Amino acid sequence: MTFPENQSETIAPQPEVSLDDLRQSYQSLRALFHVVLFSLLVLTGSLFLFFLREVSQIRRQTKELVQFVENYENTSLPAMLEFRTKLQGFAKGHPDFNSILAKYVNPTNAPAGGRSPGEADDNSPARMPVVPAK
Amino acid sequence: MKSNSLAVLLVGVLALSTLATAALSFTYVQSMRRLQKLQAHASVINQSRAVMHRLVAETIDYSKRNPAMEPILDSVGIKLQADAVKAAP
Repeated sequence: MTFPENQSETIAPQPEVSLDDLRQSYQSLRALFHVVLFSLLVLTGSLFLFFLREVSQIRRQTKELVQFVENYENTSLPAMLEFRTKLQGFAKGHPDFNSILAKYVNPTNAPAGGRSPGEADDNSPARMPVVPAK
Repeated sequence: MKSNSLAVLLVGVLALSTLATAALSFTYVQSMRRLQKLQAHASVINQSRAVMHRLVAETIDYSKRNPAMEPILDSVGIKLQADAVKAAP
């Protein structure tokens, strides 16, 4: 591999750049900068509006769900627990009802060592799940 | 000079807009997390209600075989609803 001895021979001669050309380039670069700034402003503004709408929608849904959960915990849940307690009391006097009740709630006379083989899991959909506190 | 002030103005507004969008996106993430928790909670509630409905249906069936169950159903107002369902066309 051979290198040229005189580098000035390899570099092409630069054309003369006038002051007007530089001024024109500077103006166009500045205009381009403004356009980019404006585009970014439009982009962030659009994102802001998008998030604003999403957050307001999420807050509305959250409010509805909170009302739903409060309604359940204040009215439905006590009634369900009362009904379950009465059914468990009834099942003590009527063992034939135990087979029905055992499918949905924990048996009152569950063995201490664990559940029987035919017994469903406590977390299975067939059972009344325990609703966690908020 | 006029063009320079325009750039400064645009940069300032852009910075404010970016900060506001970042804050709002953080709020969005927090709100979404809370909503997802509530949706999971509501799902458990719906599941619980469905199970309770099946239990009530089986209890009503049982009450047809054993009338001693009827006072319990009456006490929670279920028998009345069952009668209303029967009465409905």
